[in-house]
Amino acid sequence: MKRTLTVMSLLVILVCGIFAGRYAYDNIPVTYDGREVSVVDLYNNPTVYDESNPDGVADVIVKENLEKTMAANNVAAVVFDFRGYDTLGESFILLTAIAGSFVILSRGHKKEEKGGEA
Amino acid sequence: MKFKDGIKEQNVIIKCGADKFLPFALTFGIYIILFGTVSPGGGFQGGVCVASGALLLYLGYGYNIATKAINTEVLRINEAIGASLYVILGLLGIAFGLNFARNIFFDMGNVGDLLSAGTITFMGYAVGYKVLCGVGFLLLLMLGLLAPDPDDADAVPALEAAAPAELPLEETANAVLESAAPAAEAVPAAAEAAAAVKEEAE
Amino acid sequence: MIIVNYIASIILIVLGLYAVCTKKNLIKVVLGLGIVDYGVNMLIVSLGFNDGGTAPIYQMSDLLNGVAPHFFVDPVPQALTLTSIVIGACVDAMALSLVIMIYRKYKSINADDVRRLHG
Repeated sequence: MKRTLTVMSLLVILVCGIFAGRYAYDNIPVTYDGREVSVVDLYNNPTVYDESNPDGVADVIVKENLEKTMAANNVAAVVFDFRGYDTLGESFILLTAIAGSFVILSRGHKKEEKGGEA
Repeated sequence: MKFKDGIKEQNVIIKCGADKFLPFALTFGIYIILFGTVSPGGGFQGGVCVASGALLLYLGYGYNIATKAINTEVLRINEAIGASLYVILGLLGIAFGLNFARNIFFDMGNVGDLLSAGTITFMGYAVGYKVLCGVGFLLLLMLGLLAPDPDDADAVPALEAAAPAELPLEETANAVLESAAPAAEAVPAAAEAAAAVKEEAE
Repeated sequence: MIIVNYIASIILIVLGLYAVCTKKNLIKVVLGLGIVDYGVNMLIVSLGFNDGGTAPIYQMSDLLNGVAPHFFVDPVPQALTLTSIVIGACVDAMALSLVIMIYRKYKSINADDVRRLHG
């Protein structure tokens, strides 16, 4: 009984997820219309074919990146400069996880030795 | 790694493979860390690539020689040094009068050089060093838990080599366990009483 | 064709949840937890895809010759996925060390046997 209930609820989640994926795919903001395009012209000046007016954070970051940081790798500039606090927190997570694993495993080792002697 | 009574040919093949792959893994990983701002990659990716060298050493030579070559105590301390180096580089911004983690000397080179992007490159080096030491230490720690070889008489896992001092918490925990022992003994006695009552009812 | 990425990541998440809810062996439960992390990371990276774009890295040959840079994909989800991957790895490491401690104390890793709190 419990098992059929679990499988049914997971199937419902799967169907909802597929519908959500379909919806996200249909509503992608159009950035360029792929029909009637000559590839040579697209390669030479791609911004002519850009039909969207992006106004999100990513557009601002990519436009200002080269003059503010002079880094050729946009992703490294985003990770270490525009969102450096997230990398600081993640550094702490690494430290905590490795120290925690070490403490947990060594405590168990000590207890096993003590339990064997006593 | 030796199996029971010497399948030594497999030993030779694995050792040769580890010999040939180890310098490539280390060089490739250091290249990814160093050129973090110019080509795809960065600190995290390169650190994991270099830490796979410890795994190759373990596969080819066994646990004893891997821990003789790589001291786990040194790795543990250097991981903390890498983490604090990141914070010190962030505090440079405050030393110059601006906010924390500010890109101070971003115009110290042209675009596409090795040292081009200011504190981004040095933070990348610090994070790469930290991930290198941390993941290598974690790998050797977990691999030390596998059963030691029956042939190696002096196998010393990393946990016993870095034994921490006796903590006072353990004594209080033992005292609590001893005080709870009479309560634990009362449960089987109650179970026997219940079984006796059942037999009388039948 | 990016819908294939969306559907695959949702299938991964559901499979991971199935492993966490149903399996009795504790190591299989931890593996299912890891699979959920991988599915979520793939979903985040796929959401930032622009049709016809390339990797968000300036090519040195383009910059030196004065050619306008090519059309990029979104770099922000890629940067946040880096952090998420590291978090997934750390959670797996701590969960596995807890499973090792459970085995040392109870001498079995079947979820039905480790239900009671011993004295």
